[in-house]
Amino acid sequence: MTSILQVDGVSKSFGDVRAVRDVSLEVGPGEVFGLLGPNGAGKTTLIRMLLDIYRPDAGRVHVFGHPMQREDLDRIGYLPEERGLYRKRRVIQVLAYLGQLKGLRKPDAITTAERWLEKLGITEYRDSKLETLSKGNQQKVQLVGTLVGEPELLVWDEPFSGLDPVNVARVRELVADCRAAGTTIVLSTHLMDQAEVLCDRVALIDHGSLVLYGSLDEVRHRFGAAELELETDAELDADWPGVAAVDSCSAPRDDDLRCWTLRLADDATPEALLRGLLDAGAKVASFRPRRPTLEEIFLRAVGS
Amino acid sequence: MTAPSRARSSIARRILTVSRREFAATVSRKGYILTLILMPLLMGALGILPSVAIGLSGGAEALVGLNPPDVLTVVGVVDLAEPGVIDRRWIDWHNEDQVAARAEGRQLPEWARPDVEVPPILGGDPEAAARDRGGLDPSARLELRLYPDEESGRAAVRRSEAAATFVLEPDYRGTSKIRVLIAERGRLTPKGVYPGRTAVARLVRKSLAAPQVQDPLELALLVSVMEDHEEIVGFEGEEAPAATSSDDAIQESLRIIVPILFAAFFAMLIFIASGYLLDGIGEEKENRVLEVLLASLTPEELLLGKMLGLGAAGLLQTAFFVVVGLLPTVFFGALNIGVGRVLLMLICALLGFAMYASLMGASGAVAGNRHEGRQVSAVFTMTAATPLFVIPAFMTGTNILSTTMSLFPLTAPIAMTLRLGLDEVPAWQVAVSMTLMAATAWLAWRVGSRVFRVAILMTGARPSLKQIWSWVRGGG
Repeated sequence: MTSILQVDGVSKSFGDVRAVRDVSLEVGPGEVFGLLGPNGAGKTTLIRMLLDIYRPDAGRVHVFGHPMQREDLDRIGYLPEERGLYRKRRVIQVLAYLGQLKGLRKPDAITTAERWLEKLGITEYRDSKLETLSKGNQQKVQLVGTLVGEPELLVWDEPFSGLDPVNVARVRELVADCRAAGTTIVLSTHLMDQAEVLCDRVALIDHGSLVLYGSLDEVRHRFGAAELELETDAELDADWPGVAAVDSCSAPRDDDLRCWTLRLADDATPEALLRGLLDAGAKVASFRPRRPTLEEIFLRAVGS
Repeated sequence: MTAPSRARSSIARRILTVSRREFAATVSRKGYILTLILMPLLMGALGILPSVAIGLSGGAEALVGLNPPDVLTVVGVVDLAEPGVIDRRWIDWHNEDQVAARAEGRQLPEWARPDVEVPPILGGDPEAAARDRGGLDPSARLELRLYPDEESGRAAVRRSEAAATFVLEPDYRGTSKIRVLIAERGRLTPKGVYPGRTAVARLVRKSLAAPQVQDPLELALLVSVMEDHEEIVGFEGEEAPAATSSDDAIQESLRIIVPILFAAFFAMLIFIASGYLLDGIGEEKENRVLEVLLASLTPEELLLGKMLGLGAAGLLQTAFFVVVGLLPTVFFGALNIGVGRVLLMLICALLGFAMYASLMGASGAVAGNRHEGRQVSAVFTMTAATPLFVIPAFMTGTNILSTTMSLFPLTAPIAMTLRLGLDEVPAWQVAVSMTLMAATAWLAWRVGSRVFRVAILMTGARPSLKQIWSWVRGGG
């Protein structure tokens, strides 16, 4: 299957600052791909290279199966993190202009814009000046601006910023709708809970480098395979055979059992630990691999 | 997702979409409309101001060279006409009345008083008589003095005895030709305004009308008393300047003023339209619209679209100013520049705009906001405007300064416009200048686009020249 987006060994520097270092990733058709990373990690620079706003110093970017061409921009909808629109203009004027820039005829652009305005529940602001709209509604108009060209690839940088929980839910529905319609989505966000719910695969960038990349399950497995949650009366610590570290434990209950979260040593297996506990005569009420949240993975990866 | 009804999204179409938006947004701005209205008014006010200043400082007397009302001004008359025209009695009548008016402190001379019977002029036509009473300043005290020959009349002017001497030419009766000898022309004195002109015209009319007028030619003369031609004779002790007619003097002034006006208008096209570009980019940078646009356009397309739209808006404004500003010269048949030459000047201005708009676009991108953009771009504005600071060099014909400036691409847009208007420029120089301007405009666009590409989305500290140079080399 041809990937929608393919990035091979891309690097970009500004003066002495290496913003992106040798990043490679691939996004398949119809996928929701999360681009994660702390502030200043290089996400925006990478996104700008995907859109040919910046030219990479090294590496290459392919979209829709070929090197980025001018015409490909018509098939991409982009919501930048630093965004704004013509505040003195009317909503429909701005959206029609953005649609025209994507190659639509003005009447088609207006029709498409009206459809998306309705979908996002802001039809009443069709003829309002942008400056009169609330920040949240301006944000929704921005989103419509990326959709008005009927793109095959959406690149949204922090689409949830400035939205209240109701509108966050609405945008999540929008992502789901677009995905159902076959649109590929690259989502850059700080909100790990949203990424966890929406994304099929993620890439974590830190200091310009790719530190984590794959499906959510793969990522969790990589970060969570060696973690366990168990209830036992044994007094576990880092000296216990097969245990690398004890992350947390609760106070002992009446039955002397405590909840433990621990990480296995590199050469240990869950089976060997369980066997060791049982051989030591410990009671084990529960024993399961732990699935870290994306946020934990993020913090751990960036922290390391 | 529904298949979009996408038009053929050619680069040209996209650029056109941007330029249309930029044009519409600019011409609908209050600032643009105000400039359109206020600029001609300002130009008009600048034209009127000198007259107002003269009025405030000395009134009409100062304008035409008369003394204040309490000082007698002598105006000479030399009658060379064959047969003679001037009737001495009317000179005496005039002078006696002036003396009496002075003694009585009258504001109006006898001939202008409604209770005094008007001598028969034009067969006693009262309306014509009323017209004849009109003068620049009836309260001015004028003594008419008849000189026997031109030499004595000329000498009186040169030694400042007479403010002017009117010489009726020998063929006056057939041509109405009167030569006006004055020592110098005030810079702001309009054509055909001389001290005592009204009094002399009245004298001639009265002299001619004294006998019963029968000859139709003389009747015609009474209507058009004088076809005056100015001769500046200079002051005593000075060499008299070469004789020129007043028309020549006017033409000479227009020969200089009109091209400078054209150059000024075209300079406005460069500065105003580039200024719009700079402001537009600054505004979009502040509004953070640019990155949204760059998802649909390359920076080069965006810059070009803006240049075309704003250039068109600037051109429209300039065309309006040109029409309003030069309409009077067209009306008076004084437009002394051919269409071909104007077209060449326009090409220079457009090339200049392309060049400076690219550089200002890059400046706008590099700057953090509009205010900073104006500061950065000042260096370009000053460079482009340099020829306007040394206009005299262009008025004295071809010289090394004017030639160099008109060939150096950054000063050429305005320098060549000035030279085209003021001088005969060799065709090869026009060709070289335009080629260099076109090449520099292309280069400026390439360089400007590269800087624009990287700088447009930058925030925070202004990049160093070293950084900008690396962008130019690296292609963004």
